[in-house]
Amino acid sequence: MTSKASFISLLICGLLIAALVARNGQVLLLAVPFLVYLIVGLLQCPGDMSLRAWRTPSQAQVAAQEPLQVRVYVENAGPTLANLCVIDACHPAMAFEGHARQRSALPEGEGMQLEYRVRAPRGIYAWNGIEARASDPFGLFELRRDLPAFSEVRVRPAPLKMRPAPFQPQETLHAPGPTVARLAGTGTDFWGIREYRPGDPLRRLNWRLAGRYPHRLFTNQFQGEEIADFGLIVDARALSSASTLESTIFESSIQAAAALAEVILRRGNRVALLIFGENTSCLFPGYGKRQLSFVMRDLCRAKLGRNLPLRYLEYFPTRVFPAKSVIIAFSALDAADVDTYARLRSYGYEVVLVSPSPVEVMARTLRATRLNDRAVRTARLERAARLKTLLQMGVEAVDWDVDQPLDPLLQGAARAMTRRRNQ
Amino acid sequence: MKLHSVLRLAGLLAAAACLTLAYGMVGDWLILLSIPVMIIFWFLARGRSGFRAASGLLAMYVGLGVIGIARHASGLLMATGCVFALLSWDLSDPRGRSSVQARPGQATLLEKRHLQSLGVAAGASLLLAALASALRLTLPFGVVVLLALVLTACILYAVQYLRRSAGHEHRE
Repeated sequence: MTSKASFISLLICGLLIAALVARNGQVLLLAVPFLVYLIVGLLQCPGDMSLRAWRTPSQAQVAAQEPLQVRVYVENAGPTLANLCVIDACHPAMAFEGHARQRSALPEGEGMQLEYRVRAPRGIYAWNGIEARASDPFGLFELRRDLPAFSEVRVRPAPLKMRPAPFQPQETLHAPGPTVARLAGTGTDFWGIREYRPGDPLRRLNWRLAGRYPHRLFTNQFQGEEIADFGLIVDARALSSASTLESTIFESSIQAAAALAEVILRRGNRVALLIFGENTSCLFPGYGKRQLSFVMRDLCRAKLGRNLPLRYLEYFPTRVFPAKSVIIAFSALDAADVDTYARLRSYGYEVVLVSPSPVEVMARTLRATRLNDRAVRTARLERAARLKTLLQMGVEAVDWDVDQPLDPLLQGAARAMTRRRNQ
Repeated sequence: MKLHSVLRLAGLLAAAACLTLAYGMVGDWLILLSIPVMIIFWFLARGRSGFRAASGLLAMYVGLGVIGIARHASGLLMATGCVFALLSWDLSDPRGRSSVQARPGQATLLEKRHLQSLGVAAGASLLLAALASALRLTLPFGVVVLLALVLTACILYAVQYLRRSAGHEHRE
């Protein structure tokens, strides 16, 4: 029963009471049209409905805020429905374009189609069912059903342009890959010369040196190119109560982590992922498209959580990040986290901190007053001092203003890391 | 869509004409000032929700009808006016119209069924109202009260039953 039927019933009751109060039977005459209207509606109310529904999103995965076309098809396997309303309710975070609700008659054996477009922020979105409301032609008495039609769409973080950063880990896995190893191997870059050993290919003999030293032979060695291990740590802790600032920083971190994971995995390296927040998720090292899909899934699900100290990282199994791998952390950097980075360095990891700058994000939202300017300047100095401490520990810290591209900063950090090691 | 609008306007005009005629026949012209009041109300309220404004208008119309009958205006004319007001009110409800993106055949079918049902309801109402006004039954007040109570109870029971059954179906 809808509000329309309730209104008509109320009018009829009101007229009955008015007739009694006025002691005038003619007042009841006015109730006749409403009673007949109600009865005609009741007689045409559908007894049951037999509907089948399908929902087909155009893609199973889209990038954040990218339009996604959704088609809903409802087929009537029962008798004709004179007034059917189909509603496909979406997640409140999704922005609509088009119509997710359609009303029309649906004859037996026929179907109706709804088409709409949605745009959503990062996340995993699921539709459970489609709501169908069949009623009499006046819309007085409704029959509701939830038609099962499960669909899921993964909305990836918005893409970020990034080139492969030449990070060089201390150790590589002994399998052919893209990362320059600190060993002689099968690569193309010249590495060194050693004395000839039986079995060395003749095309690698250094004839010029053989000419200089008679009765001795030398072999050219080339630099090995192997697979490297990378670990990504995404800080999902809400460090302050400024929710807009926190979410901007967090979304930027997620975006950067997704872009970097994609670049690293596409080059054939191994990636492990740890999202550290209220719900900590951990992904063991893996290669290829499958691992990329898992990484994206975890990054899609990631949410900002309660403030846990980063030293909890100590309790994580060491297998998550293989020894001497490159750990890239995405964090705004809390004062209490410095010790954790020092400890990671002491375990032998190469640590790179990509730190989206909360100071720059905040500075843009503040009014330009003398006091605010001083506050921002102080915060910048404090942050610079903290990052410098990390640099002194051997942690490569990237101070990232989220409105600027990250790629040049990462390239610079990778080069600086190599330079520091070679010194 | 266009037919709906035309019929709705025609219903409104017919309802207003019935009210004017009924009040005019008893020489109570002053109450006709309520018609511009209703028009102003309509223009003020339709901005928020067209259908709610129409519901308010229908309630006001019924109220005027009751006052008219109390002032010895023609009951049949008032009932006829109520039929047209009801018709106009129903046509202002979007639930009776198909969505813009519906397939033409299905959209026509819904509107056709709706108008047919409305025609049946209006015709039956006019016929019943005419029959009822022709019949002159004199019943004692106690019997009338009893009948009214039984009828009210029946309506309330029917409403509760329908709500309950709708709730069950929704849970299923």
